[in-house]
Amino acid sequence: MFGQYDIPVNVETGGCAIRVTEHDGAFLYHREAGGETTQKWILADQCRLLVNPVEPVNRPNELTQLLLIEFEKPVLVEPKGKKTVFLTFPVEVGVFVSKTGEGGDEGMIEVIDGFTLAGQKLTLYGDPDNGQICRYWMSGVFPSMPGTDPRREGVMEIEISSGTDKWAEVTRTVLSAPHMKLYFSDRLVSMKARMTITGEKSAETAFTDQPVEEGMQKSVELYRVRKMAVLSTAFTMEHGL
Amino acid sequence: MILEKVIYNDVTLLDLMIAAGILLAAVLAARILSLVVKKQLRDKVKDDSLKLVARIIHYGVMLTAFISVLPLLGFSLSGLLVAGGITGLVIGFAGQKIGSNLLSGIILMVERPVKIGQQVGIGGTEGYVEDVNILSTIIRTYRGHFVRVPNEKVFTESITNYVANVARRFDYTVGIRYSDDAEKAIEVTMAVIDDFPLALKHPAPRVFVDNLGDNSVNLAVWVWTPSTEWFEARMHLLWKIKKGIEAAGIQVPFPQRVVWFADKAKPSNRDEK
Repeated sequence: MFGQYDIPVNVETGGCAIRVTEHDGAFLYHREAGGETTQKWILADQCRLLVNPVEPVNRPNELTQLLLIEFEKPVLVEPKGKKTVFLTFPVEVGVFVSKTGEGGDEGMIEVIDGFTLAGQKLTLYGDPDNGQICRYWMSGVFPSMPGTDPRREGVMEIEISSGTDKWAEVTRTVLSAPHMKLYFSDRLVSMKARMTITGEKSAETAFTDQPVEEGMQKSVELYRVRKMAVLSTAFTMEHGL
Repeated sequence: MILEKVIYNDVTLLDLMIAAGILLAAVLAARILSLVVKKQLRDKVKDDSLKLVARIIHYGVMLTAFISVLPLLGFSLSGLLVAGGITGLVIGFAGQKIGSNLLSGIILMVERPVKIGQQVGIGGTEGYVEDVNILSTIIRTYRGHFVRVPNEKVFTESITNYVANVARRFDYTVGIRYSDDAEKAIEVTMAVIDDFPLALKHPAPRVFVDNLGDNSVNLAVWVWTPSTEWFEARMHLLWKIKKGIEAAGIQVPFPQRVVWFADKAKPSNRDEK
């Protein structure tokens, strides 16, 4: 499903159908996925369709830039310890149109659609008066890379380290979408992250701009396409681990 | 000495120089004070209101300085004070509400309990804040009515801000028949809520038997949602719950009465299907 397509195009795979058909010089974009149908006209002479995984925080509504992954089982981290484990995360699909022909370049990419085949849920991180709304996901903690359906779930390689002198129990991690670096291949969608425990109830999360295995392609960054400023390089979890 | 030379009446050159110095200092003080107020309130108050406040402060300082130098210039203030006192009394009575609204407006602009676009309830008026001015706050009710609320009322009444916090809870009461399995109804309702994206995972929703009513067993349903989406969630979730429990064979009963006839002796069975 992920990749670049010259239009007209017809992509159907596991519960999702994307079609772009030509009608008298105009292109009709049609998408069916997750029980939803979307149609849009594309008025362009020459363009290409890009289907990429994007930062999974846009559904059900664009209410948050944060993804909270809750661990099925708590993780105990030794003092000053560092370990790498694997989590899953929900995949959201972004559909972009890219102008080709004369003057076509990466700067001419525009997002036209977004959807997900994964479950959608929101949660609150912190208290109702000063907390933050996050996209919610429950994940197992795996010592090695788990198998996933890349249309629904991605794999996150996360290095959890502790900067404290005490054992730390971690039940969740909160990640910021503007910092995410997604990579994809035919069989896998991935991110590489790190979580540094800085206190009893605080930690910092950040991303590494690398795929988890060779041969993966970097995904279009939605926040860059939308020209949204990213002011910091890490997110600080302040409302508990 | 030249400074003691009388210019007119008993006013000396020294008096004139002191008066000029005071007025010059007042001009500087008024300017500095206006700039400080503008800088402090720039992010909290609109431009036109800020200019008005700065202008009031500027002219207030100038007027005070002018009145204070009048004795130095040979003018008696006693008559002025009497006239001013009477005038002040009249203006005070007539303008007390305006003054109260103005002062309330300034405090509200600093305190900012409400912001433009937020859903609020002020003294029985509910709606969206359209504008916050120096004398009044404009609210657009849910029916689209324009309501101007004087800031004195905004300041003294309780303000309910429905979106000041990131999350809020809404509640339903769902009645089921006495013959239905309440535990199953709770399980089904929780599953429907869990499947609903706008119902927050944490704080966790709660469903429990709240009371045994005249016509039904009443379940309380508590759901947390993002404050900006609460109405959207509230609109859609109740019907989903109803459809969910009905699909599980549980009914929401109509109001009903059980009638026992004394001469028939045998009571009717409440568990009849």
